[in-house]
Parts: sequence; structure tokens; C-alpha cells
Amino acid sequence: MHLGIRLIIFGLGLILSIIIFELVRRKKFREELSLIWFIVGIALMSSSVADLIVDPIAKKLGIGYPPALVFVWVIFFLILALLYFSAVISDLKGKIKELGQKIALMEFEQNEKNKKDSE
Amino acid sequence: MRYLVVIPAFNEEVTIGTVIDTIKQDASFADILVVNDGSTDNTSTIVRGKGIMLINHPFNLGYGAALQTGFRFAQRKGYDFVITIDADGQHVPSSVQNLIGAMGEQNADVVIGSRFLEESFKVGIAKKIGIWLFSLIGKMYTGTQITDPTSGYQLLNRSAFSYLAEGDNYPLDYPDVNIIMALHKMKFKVVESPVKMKESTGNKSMHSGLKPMFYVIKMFLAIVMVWVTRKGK
Repeated sequence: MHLGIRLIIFGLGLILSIIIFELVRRKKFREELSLIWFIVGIALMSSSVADLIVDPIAKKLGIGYPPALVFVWVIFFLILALLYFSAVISDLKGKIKELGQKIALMEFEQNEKNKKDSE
Repeated sequence: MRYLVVIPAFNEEVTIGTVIDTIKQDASFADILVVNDGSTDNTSTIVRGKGIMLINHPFNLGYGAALQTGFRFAQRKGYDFVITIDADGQHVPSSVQNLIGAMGEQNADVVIGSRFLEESFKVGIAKKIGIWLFSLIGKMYTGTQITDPTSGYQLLNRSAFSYLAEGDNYPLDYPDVNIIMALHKMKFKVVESPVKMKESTGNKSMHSGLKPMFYVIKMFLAIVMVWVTRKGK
């Protein structure tokens, strides 16, 4: 791979990591959710030299087209990421339900109290 | 004995008024609570005009969540029994006496109103297959024939609705045979009683488009989860 391409890929990974860092610093991104994107950033940076590692491994595994191995890793990682976000959404959905119900019940109690007070 | 009728309602301005009037007439012994599940129409205004209790969800949470809010309310206010009736006018309130009778006679914790026990009721073929399949699974698991597991017309005693009021014991959307199985596993006695139902006047149905397919898959998963996770009380 040409050195320029390697630098561009590394730079993109670095920019992504800096953006994520800034989002966490400004409290716009929770630490636990940012972790997965930090991994993406690091993976992107290290992919600038990935061919040096991937090509020999692919050769050993008998994979004729080395990028196919990268695709398998990436797909597996994305599935894990989706699974993680699904779990987060499920958890939030449960919490939103609890909150919604509590607000509704409290609002009812408050209205009843206001009615009694005005009588 | 204090009874509470819980009516979950989502955009039911066409039917809710009549449903409330009929319940007031045919089940005058019970208090009425409408849980307005984030309706965007005049449901809330109509209910307020009827002088009954109204709880408004801040946004739409689902049919099951609205019922659970009703269970939580009943638990807090010390009600002995909860009767659940749909807001679309399908359930005939005078049949509530059948539910009460069945609960007393059979010493049950939950009585499900079945539209199929006494008279034939027209339902679509897809729904018919679904009901038959889930009834069969329910019978295999509980040993009791439940002919109408999707029925939202139910009577629950305090221990049953208090259990369902807790955390994730009730689904967000539509309760089905999975809840009957979960109740059975928790040693609650679930029986059926005949009730009269009318064809729904609204156009809303969960049984349209691709929804039935997803519903069946989801329900199978829920059934498996009841089988593997719930513990006896």
C-alpha cells in the first residue's frame, strides 16, 4: 500500500477518535456508549497498516482474497455493536415506560389534591 | 368489595363515550378508570366530561402498559378486583356478571371473557388460526382450555393484578397466552367464562398487513421465555 494512502487512513481514524473524545468531553456522548466508537477509531487507525498483518493471516487460513478476512471481522464487530445498541434501546424502553406510568399516576394524584384544595 | 373497571384508550373518541355510559348503566357497582394512552384526538376531553377517573399517559406507551398503569392505580387505591374492558365498544359490559360468577364458583384468580364459549363469533381466518394455535399451546402448558387467549375482557383479583402491576410482569403491547402461562406458572388460577362481544366498530386492528406474522413470531418467543425464565411464587 502507498504511504500516502496509509497516512490518509490513519488520519481519518485519528479525526474520528478526536471527534469522539470532544463529544465525551462536552458531555454530549456518554462514556459507555463512546467506548464502541473509540474502538472503531483505533481499528480505523490500525487499518492503515492492516495489510501487513492481514495478508499473512489470510494466506495461512487459505483465503485467496485477504480483504475478505477484514470484511468478516468488520461484519462480526458491527453485529456485536448492533447487539449492544439493541440492548441499550430495550433498557431505555423499559425505563421510559416506568417513567411515563409514574408521571401519569403522579399527575392524577396532583389533580385530585388540587380539586380537594379548591373545594 | 371494591371493583375498578380499567379502560385503556388510544384515539377512541368515537366509541369511548358510549362505552362509559354503558358501563355506568350495566356495572354501576364499579368505579371506572380510563387510561388515556397518549391519544391525539378528543378522547381525554370526552372522558373528563363523563365525570369518571382519568389518567393520561404523557405519550403512547402501548395497550399493555396502559392496562398495567390501571393495575398499579388499583393496587395503590386498595381495590379488590379489576375488570378490564376495551374502549372500542367490542365488550358488552352486562357480561361482567358472568365473570364475577365464574370467579366465585371456581375460586379463580383471573377470569377471561371468551367470545367463543357460547355463540359463534366471526373472526378472520388468520386470527382464527392464531387463536387456535395459541389456545393449543396454552392447553398443553396449563391443562386448561382457553378458547379466547387474546380477549381483553377480564376480571382479576387483587393478588393477580398486583403481580401484573410489577415491573416487567406485563408486556408493553398485547398480552396473550404468554401472560396466561406466566400466571399459571405463578400458581394463579385462570379460567374462562362466556361473554358477549360485538364486532369492533373502529378500523384499528393489530391483525392487518405484515403485523400478524411478526406477532406470531414474537408471541412464540414470549412463550419460550415464560417457559424458561418465570419462577413459581
